[in-house]
Amino acid sequence: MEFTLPNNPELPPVSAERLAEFGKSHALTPRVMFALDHALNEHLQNVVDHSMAKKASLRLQVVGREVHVLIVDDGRDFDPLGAAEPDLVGDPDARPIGGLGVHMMRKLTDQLVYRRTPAGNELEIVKKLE
Amino acid sequence: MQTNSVRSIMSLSQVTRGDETELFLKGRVDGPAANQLEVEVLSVIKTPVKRLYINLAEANFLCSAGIRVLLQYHRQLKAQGRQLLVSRTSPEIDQILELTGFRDTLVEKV
Repeated sequence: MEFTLPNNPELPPVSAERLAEFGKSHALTPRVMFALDHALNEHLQNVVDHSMAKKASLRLQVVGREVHVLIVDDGRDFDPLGAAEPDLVGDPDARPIGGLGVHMMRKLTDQLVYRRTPAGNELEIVKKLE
Repeated sequence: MQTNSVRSIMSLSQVTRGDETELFLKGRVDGPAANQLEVEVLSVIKTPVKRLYINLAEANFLCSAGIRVLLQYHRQLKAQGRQLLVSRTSPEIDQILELTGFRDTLVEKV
């Protein structure tokens, strides 16, 4: 499945709808869908909030025993994986709150790959099928 | 584990008993819903309520922005001698809170 959407606040929910259709047509398990849904939402919310992109293109594929979700936005340089890991061991009432979104993406998926290309920012999310 | 209702806007209801208020969130707590939650929390904490409970038993999705709202007001109310705690979680929400390391902080210990 491939589609391109304008970068506006509807980008995450509309993409989530498409992901749900993709999951249904490929009989993906609820656990895999739960992980992909959260990871995709976190990334696309970053695109909406920070990228200044005009549009984002998504490609969803089952490759062997994995799901690959490729997101390309035409915004400014933004490597979400460059963010520092959040502090998860310090005083929970005092430690900084930032970095949770990327941390969730890392924990819920099997691989995240970022590339800066002439087309813009590319993030590939890989999740193994069960 | 249910993930199909992706466009379901979060629905929110509120029950107040004495100096306690409980907000019941259903569905998808995504970015816009996190903003909606923050507006509700701000509205409740203007009142003299001592304890604000967020019931997530019927929520099936929680984004990082939603967790930030919970944490921010958990800390703010604690500093005022008040409380914001998650009263109940669905299995999905429990998993998300666990992997972000804030479950023990946010979820009420029964």
